[in-house]
Amino acid sequence: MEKKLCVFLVCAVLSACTLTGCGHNASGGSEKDRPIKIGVLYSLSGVTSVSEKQLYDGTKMAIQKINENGGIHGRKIETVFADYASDPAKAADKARKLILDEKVTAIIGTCSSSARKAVKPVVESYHSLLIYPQSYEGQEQSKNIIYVGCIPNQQAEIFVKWLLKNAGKKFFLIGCDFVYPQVENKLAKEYLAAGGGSVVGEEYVPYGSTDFSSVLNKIKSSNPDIVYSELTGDSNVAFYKQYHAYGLKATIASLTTNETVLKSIGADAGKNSFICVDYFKNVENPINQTFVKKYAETIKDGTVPTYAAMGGYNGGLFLGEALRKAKDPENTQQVAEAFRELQIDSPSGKISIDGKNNHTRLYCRIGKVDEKGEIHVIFTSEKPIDPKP
Amino acid sequence: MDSVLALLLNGLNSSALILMAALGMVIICGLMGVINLAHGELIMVGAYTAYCATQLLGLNFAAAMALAFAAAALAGILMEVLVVRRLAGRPAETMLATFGISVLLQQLVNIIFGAQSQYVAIPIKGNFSIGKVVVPYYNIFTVCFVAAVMAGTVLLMKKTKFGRRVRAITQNRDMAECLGIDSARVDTVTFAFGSGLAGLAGALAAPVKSVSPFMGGPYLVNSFMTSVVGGIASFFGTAVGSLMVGESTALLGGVSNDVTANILVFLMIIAVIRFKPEGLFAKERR
Amino acid sequence: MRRLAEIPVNRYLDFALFLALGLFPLFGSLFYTQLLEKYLVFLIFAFSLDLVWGYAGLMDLGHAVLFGLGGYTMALSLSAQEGVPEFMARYGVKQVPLWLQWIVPQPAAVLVCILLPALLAGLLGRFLFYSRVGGVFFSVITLALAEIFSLFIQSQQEYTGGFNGIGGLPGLSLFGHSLSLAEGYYFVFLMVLLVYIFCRALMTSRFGLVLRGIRENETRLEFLGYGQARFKTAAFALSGALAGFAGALYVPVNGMIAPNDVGMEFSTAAVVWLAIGGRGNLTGAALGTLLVNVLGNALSEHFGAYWQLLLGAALLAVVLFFPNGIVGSLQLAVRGRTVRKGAARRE
Repeated sequence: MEKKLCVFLVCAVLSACTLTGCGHNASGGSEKDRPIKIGVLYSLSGVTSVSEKQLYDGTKMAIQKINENGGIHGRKIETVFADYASDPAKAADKARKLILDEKVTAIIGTCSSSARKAVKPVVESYHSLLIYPQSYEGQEQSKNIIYVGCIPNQQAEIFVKWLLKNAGKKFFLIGCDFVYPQVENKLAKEYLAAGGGSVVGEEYVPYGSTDFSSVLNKIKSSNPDIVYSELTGDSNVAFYKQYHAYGLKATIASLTTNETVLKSIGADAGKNSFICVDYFKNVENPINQTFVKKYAETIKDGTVPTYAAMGGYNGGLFLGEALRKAKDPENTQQVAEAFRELQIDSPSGKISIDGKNNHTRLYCRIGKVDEKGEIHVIFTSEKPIDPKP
Repeated sequence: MDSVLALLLNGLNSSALILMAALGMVIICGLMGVINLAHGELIMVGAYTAYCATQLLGLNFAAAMALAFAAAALAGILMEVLVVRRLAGRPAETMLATFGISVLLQQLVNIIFGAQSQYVAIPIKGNFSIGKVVVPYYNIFTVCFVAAVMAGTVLLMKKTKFGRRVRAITQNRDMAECLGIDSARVDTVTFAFGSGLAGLAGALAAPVKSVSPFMGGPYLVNSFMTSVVGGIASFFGTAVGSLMVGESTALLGGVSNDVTANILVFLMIIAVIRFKPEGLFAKERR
Repeated sequence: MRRLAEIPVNRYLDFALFLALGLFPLFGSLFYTQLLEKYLVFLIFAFSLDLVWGYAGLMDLGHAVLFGLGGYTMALSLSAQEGVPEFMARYGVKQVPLWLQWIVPQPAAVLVCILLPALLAGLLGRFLFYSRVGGVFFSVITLALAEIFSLFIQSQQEYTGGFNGIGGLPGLSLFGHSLSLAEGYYFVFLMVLLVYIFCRALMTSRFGLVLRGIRENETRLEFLGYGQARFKTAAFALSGALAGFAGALYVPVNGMIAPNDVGMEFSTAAVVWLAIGGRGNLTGAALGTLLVNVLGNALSEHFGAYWQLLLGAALLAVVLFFPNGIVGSLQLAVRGRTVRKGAARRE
């Protein structure tokens, strides 16, 4: 009896293995109407899932828009989604899966620098292409990665100058304890030194920390004009709430807050603070108005588009344009070439890829939060700013 | 001087929150020997109840707290009756099962509300200053409220019939059953009470902390540390333990960062266990 | 002892599993081979956890700390092969610190990867088991340790790469010759086999028997003169060594290591593998690890949060209805049948 059972088990295990091994089927059809496959790589669970849901929604809308408008020369774009659960090692695995098994032309995705850094060697070794939609600390270039989000010289540099002119000279720098905030703060100190400002304090809290009482008293006693923050996720939310409870007077200036965060902290805690990113929901132009309406109809979870959603959207639009421009949209090499100096009309303005460094020329915008928690765009750069990674 | 005072006051507030979170766990563990890994998620349930009550139903904060207690207590009852009771006498398995429950609760809330943090308005606004030190009124409320809950719990355990039963079972379960105490019922009620306290902790933290599906983890670890320092079955020990954890994190956080403070507290715990295995304040019990 | 019915059903299962794993690269796609190579490393980690949990009865909820110690040691060693690594230079570290220079040679690194976690486990055991801390308190303390260790790793950015971890590391190499995917796969496979044989041998040895005795009845074994603390500490240290070894293999196979791999998340993940597969027989550890990871990889795309939900529910169901896990329950079922058959024959 047990022998039979064992034979059965051996067979079962073997067949399971072969099945997983050859689980993917080639999509048929002729050359002309076969869809073009692209990979979409985000985490819908785990610590970075809040931002990544927005990136994902943005990308989804962009692809939908391209397909509704007839696709790429009549061919639809087919997205293959992979979820890496906020785990950089899994991100690399999934990127390999998308490239090797799904044979996608390009991947759009990843959110944190750690995930991007994990995927970078993968796309480089398989000569694939990653479109990275999030803003980050810069200092990286790869011919296999297109960076769609803003980097410090398009955001922090202008922000600090503007704050020095309009809000105050004494800065208190705060961030979560990892590379992005530290690089941003290091640069902020340089910008401040150049612009005649001063740093009265600098604090880092562990990623995800939500207890700010000692930090808040340090802020109080150092008496700054501006609290310059790159806190992210839960820490960011808790910081605004406690800052409000402590009734501190200095203005918060953030590089990471967006409409979703404002909703979590409430209008009271958020009011009068400044935010600097490349896109707000309240940007005024016809393309954006259509986009915001469309977003509400498509996403339907009560959220509004944020700069993260816009990053995902821009990434998708750029990719669509590049596919259209490339002779063979399934040839990654040609698609990557097509990105050079590519320009699109996005809700955030006319933006383009800088062929020298694969980063994007973006507008810089500063918003001020009003009593109702709405962001008013009070500054927009005259033209898109050249990226200097 | 001011800064030391500031740190001590901050520490008191964190201590109160830690104590509130740990109290429920200590009560449950003391009576049933069950370590509830879903304790952090009960705190989360409390916080989300506060969110639903204040933002969606428009109730005031006091009602929200009552509801948070009720919701978490209900979750506790379900857990006790459906899972914990079936695994009586197998603490490791119970722990594992509660871990399963914690994953379930996290994902349920994640699916229903989404991963983003939710907003709960702060019920008591304003603050006052002692010299350079700012103290929000809400912190004072937190400390007082936790002290009151603590006192109430101690009274409940020492003065009421129910408390006497709980203590009898804690000391000798078999004997208590012989004397006609319905231990199953006492277990359920205690589990519900402990869970309810966790819910209260969640509601209390909601206005000043982040309210998200994965908020429970840090509370769980802090509760563990506190209850191990204090001796897992002792209220007084837990109170002192939470003061130690809260104050040392705050004081050390003033000079270095939170991580160093956490590591030191952990080393202290290991030392406590080495030299006083029953915790600092537990009565000798064999 | 060696009656046919006594040869446990799990040995057949082991055979089938290893056969399937050994043949996989011949059939499987490039990607799945690479993925499975990583899961093979997880097998070693699962075996090491089975040693403490399955055999010594100590549910370690922070086992990834030991894995991470090995992993980070190896990652540091690999990243410092050509001078100061990038993440250190960022924080103004000008030259490779002395302690890092020592572990740059690979044999030294492997040795430290194994000894360091063993030492930590030994010390922890020395403190805990000799104070008679066991059962759930051991779990509580190890869980707290996992949380703190991952915070610690995140805070020491100039030496650990902080939140981003250490990445871009070279793959497996042996005596200066870097291995191809297939070679690497079979190298890891061989390691898994060796660890498996080692664990099996250990468990049938006197040491293993005493350990199981302590798990079943601590007091009786103490009366017989077997100090529980000594045996538990030894088992924990051994398990630490294996976990560290798994960590050391993981880094070149994976190409990176990050705080995710050393904290609560990964520790509890491994506990779930064992709980579902069954523990105390190595087979359950292997089966659970492969099952949960392969399914997770296949299902997480399409079900996202629902996959996690399912995993939580599965864990709950296993604990409530199949406390011995899949393999344990299978063993019981088979044994029950043979016992019944034997009884029938006797009649």
